[in-house]
Amino acid sequence: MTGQLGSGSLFCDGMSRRTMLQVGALAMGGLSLPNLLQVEAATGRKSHKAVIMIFLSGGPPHQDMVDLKPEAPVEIRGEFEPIATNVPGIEICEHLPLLAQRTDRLAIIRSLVGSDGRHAAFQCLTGHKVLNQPAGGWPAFGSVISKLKGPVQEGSLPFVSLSPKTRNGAWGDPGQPGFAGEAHAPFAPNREAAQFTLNGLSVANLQNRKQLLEGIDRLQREAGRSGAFEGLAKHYESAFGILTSSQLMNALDVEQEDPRILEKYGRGAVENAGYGDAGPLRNEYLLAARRLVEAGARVVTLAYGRWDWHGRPHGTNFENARDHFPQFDQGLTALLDDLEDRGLDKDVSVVVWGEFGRTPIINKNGGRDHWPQVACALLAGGGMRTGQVIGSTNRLGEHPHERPVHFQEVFATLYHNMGIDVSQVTLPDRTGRPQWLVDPIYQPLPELV
Amino acid sequence: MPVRVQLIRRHTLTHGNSIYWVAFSADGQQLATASLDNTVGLWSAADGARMGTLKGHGDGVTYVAFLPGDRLLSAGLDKSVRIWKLAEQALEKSFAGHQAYLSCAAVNSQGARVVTGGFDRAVRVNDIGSTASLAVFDGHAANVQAVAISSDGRRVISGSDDTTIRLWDVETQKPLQILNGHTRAVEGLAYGPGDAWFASAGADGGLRVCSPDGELLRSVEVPKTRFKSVAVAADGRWLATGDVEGRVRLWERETLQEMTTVAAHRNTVFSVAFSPDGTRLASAGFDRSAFVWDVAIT
Repeated sequence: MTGQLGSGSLFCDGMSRRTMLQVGALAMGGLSLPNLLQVEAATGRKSHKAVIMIFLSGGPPHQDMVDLKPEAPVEIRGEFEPIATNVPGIEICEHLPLLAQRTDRLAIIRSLVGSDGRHAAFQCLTGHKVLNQPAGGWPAFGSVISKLKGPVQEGSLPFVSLSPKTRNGAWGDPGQPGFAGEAHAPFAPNREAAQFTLNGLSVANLQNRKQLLEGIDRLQREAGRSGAFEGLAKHYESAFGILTSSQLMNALDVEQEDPRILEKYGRGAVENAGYGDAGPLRNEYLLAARRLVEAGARVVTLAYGRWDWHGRPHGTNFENARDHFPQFDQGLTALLDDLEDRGLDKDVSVVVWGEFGRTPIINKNGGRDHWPQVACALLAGGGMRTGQVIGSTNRLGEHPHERPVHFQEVFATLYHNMGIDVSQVTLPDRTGRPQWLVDPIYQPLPELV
Repeated sequence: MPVRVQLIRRHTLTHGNSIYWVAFSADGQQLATASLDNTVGLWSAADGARMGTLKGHGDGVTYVAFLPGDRLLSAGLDKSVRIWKLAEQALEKSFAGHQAYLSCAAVNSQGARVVTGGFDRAVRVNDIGSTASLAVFDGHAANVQAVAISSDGRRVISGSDDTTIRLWDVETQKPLQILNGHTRAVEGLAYGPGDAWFASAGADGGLRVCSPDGELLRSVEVPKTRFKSVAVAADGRWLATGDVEGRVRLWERETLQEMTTVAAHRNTVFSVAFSPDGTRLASAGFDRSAFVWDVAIT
């Protein structure tokens, strides 16, 4: 959300210049301590429509997760067996047993099409392809929601991305604001590193408010001399208030959660997954997403794990699946249960997907390669009609057989769930030209809404 | 009285990514682990405490072995072989040669020679002291997945996705034998004491013991099992295997009788290793864990 300012040199307190500038940038505009405290006092839980977007960086294997092909030839069907779910007639992977018992709360799309074929979160964040963007660029879903809906309450942030900075930047993309404007960029507290830090400051550090504000005062003086921060957008003021508010800190600090809830979600690696190039396989982020929604976020996105499983020597598709599936099974199950237990399941939509599917034929190294022809997605909550499968693939999982579902139809559905009619609403791009949120040929999925 | 063997888990060692190899030091006091997180972990065998981390590989580390003189050798997917000074936990030297992923390696018992195999289908032998290349063997028709080297470093065996085991003579740089006993990839190889025989484990569920010249001495096939690793106890009495379902098995070598099986890991067991005195076994897996087991024989 903040610009790439500063050189990365360290202040004497060990805080990087860049970090200080980032925090300081939030403080510009004369936000005083009384203002901050006033913002901090603005709390109070209120349910609102929200979306949690879980991006499975790299493209999950549709035929090994939710569209198994036990009758396919051995070079295609893979190592896993399908298991029955709590919805008669629907089967999913044996390594997703918890979700199998909650399939009545899932809508499984087996025929997702329209993939850009790129290793990037972009399409899963915006609904659009990278090339031929309108002036200013396509805004992420969260930025559109921020623009159209604003904050839930004064002092809350509409759009939060928990994705960290990753070696493959396109996988850790928090979502660009595009022509929605910089004011609607995501608040991305984990961008400095794959740790639960806020622009390099730990939650614990932030709790030392006095020290922080002294630092900011120092920075303000420095900035005043340099003029570096003149004209920063007003949302930075608000964001700083949130950054320093106990509400946001509490939301991000999952250790404050009931230990029984934490246990249900399970833990995960702090480090970025794979080879530092993808989001961490960290179930605490799923819990943090729910807590952020309760703290006022309308859209929370996160990159979860590394699903680009080309095979040995980096582990076969199936070794990686046996690694990721159980943790994903536990985490998503906990999120679904948690949302239901807290009465949020009608308001909060959850979408889980990656940038494409994977090749039907298992390669010589036990991997599956990129397959933009078809992919899968899981949807839950948001008042949608769940407990169903939408679409199907052919016998070998190569292409849609019934009811192809485009990425943009999913986005149209999510906009619908947020109370936005994509057939009516446009946003102006940087030239002032109105742009539909999704291509007008796409509408919310009638099976779900 | 029939012998009863048990594996009792003592310590758990963890990495940020999968662990591809585990090795004991010569005195059995330390362990080293090679991980896909690009690091080598150093551990106390007594209590499982981490003693250090060696960083420098640019990709996953596939093999690690302690060397004489308080040194350690690691090999990785970045195609490099690295020699480390343990006291300083610092790199001493490195060399490379493979043209694709270096997937497996082995050091002879004298710690003088290293054999490596790769996805370039090549088997390479280097002198560790001088890093000089001693031999390069081509012939496998697919990725090399396992290698072993005799204690004097003069003979090498390699196993491949092409299902063959090949025997090589380092001194003459000539192939000696091609063995076709396995029907799927050969995933693990290990020499017995005195190089009197070697064991191979395959993705076909086959565990085979052959003479140094490749004559099959004994074999067993476990249905619906894909072995990934094999190790030999120092006295040659026991074999250990790891498989893709996370199981660790202990076998009596003479009979190939399965003595015990443990559901050890949640994922593929990439490596098993006996301590020099044979009282402990270590296993390492794709589940980011390595376990140290007591081998209890009653």
